[in-house]
Amino acid sequence: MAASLASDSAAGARLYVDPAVFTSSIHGQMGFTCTMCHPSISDYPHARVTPVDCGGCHSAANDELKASVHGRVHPTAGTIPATCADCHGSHDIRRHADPQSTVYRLTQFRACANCHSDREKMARFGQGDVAAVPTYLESVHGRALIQKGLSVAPVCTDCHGQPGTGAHEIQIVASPASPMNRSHVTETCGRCHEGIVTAYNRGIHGQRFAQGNADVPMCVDCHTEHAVQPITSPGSSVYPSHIPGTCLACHEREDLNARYGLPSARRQTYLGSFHGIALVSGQLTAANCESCHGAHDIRPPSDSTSSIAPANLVTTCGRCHPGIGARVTEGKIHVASVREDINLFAFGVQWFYYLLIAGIILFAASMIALDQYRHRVVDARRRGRGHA
Amino acid sequence: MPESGLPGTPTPEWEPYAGDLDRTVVIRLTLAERVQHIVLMVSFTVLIVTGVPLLFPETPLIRVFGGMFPVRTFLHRFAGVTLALLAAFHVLYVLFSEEGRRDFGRMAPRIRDVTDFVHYVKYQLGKVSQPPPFGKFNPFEKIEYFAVVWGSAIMVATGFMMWFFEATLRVIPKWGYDLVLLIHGYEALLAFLSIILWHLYNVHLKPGVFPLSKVWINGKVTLRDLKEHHPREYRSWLKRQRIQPPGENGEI
Repeated sequence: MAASLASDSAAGARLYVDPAVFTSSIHGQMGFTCTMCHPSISDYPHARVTPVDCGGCHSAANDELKASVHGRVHPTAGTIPATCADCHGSHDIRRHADPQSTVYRLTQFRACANCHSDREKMARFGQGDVAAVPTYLESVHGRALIQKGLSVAPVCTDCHGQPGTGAHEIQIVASPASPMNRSHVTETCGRCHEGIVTAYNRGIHGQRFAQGNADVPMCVDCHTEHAVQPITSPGSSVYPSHIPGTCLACHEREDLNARYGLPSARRQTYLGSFHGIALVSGQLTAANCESCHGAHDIRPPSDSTSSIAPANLVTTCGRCHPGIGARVTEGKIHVASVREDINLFAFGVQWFYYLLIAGIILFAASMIALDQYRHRVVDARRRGRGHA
Repeated sequence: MPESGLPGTPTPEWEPYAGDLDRTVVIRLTLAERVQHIVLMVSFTVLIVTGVPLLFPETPLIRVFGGMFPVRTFLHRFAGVTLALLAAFHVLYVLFSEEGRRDFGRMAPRIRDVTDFVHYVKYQLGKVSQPPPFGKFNPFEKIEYFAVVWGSAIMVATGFMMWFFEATLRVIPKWGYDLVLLIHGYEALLAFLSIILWHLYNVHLKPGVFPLSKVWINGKVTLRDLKEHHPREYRSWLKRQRIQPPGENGEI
């Protein structure tokens, strides 16, 4: 870029450096001269200008960048995706803690969006997703940052950069080195949400996750990534009315249920229950999956500390239904089949009603047909005979 | 069927003039009975509308409540309590009021109902020319009445068990409670379909009744109606009016 400056005389404006901007930049404040960054310029007219080598001073940052996705030459595009100046600016560079810095915490997303919201630039590097930044800005994290001005709210580099060194070592999510790689997501989220991750690690999902299981959900599977919303937000994947859909994404999958010996028909048995009907009809206080099974600390009923272990069921149900009878444990909570989940007696009752209802319909229909026959056929015949 | 097929009722050989058959009205349902019917009709309708959609989860039917599900629950319970109070009142009415006792007596099933039914089918098919000699309540009306009595008892009992399920589960196990839910649902469907098909046909769509029988409002039928549809009751009515066949007491 710098190399083309002198030869591109038509773009004279690009040669202009505003002294006020430069003197207020960190390098200007420190009294840097032009030739400290542009050492090839020694006379006039200038010789060909060589690219600025930030790494000459910032060697650690330069090394980190070169190892990152931004600093490696892209295999198909043939160039590196981002230079120092793309994020930090050139003559106007400020300290990252300076509110006017392009990488200042509260406004850093703009520097990322320069490329990551630009469809053309992203396409050049084989990327199609340009919604990450705007989606993030609408999320609980983005709103905390923008609307509430919370400096502790996570910004792009908090999750995508390496802890400690920050932005320079960003890797693609598929790389095991990325903090957003599946293997690191829980520890990354746990840097802020420590108690939640501790609970998750205790639960069956977390236990299996620690064993390297690729099927169990971790944070972003339920909460989504950039779009993460609080449970109070109607758009959240974990808003009460959305929880069944979120859990069923896995628990209604026959292959997963078969692999882990989990019961099937969770959708039917929940949505067909009074809880499910009430929830679907908008009564958000009705029990959803989480109400009984827990959220992060979900355990199987065989675990005596589980909220749905038979011994704990009265306590769990009693959270909403104080004084519920202990005999709630004698039977299934999710009833899918009258025959198998209740008993043969119930199956008999069901068939008794099937036959009774069918019989009533048949009887009523035949009596109505008989009545119509009498009015239309028999009465007409009788009248005819009367006239004759 | 010949007149002799009416055991227990005298055969009047004297009858009112034809003109009087249309002029004379007879009270078929007392005011208390009409009020009970209206309360039953309203509470039944509310119960069906607020209850039957729950039998069809995962269908658009379940969306009828919009965000008003707690209102639905309140209305269902309110109508349920109304039905329970009506049932209690009806028991008192049948036990302690003169009309109630008399009409309940006429409601009692008898062997005659079977022969009347056979006669009815033959008449409908055109095999006999004489209409069946029904009493005040024909066999269908009797079945319907006892179906409502039995159905209400089941629905009120299971309904209260569901309302107070915390206490219910102290007494019966969860699988027994599931049975209660099952019965409440199927019994509701049974009642709903019976009313839609059978009752609404007989009081609305039936030829001669269409568009609507007004008996449930004014309680009145003409003597002609009584004679044609409830011949045994007609004769009994004549008897109660002290219209005696000539010659029985010598003169009239």
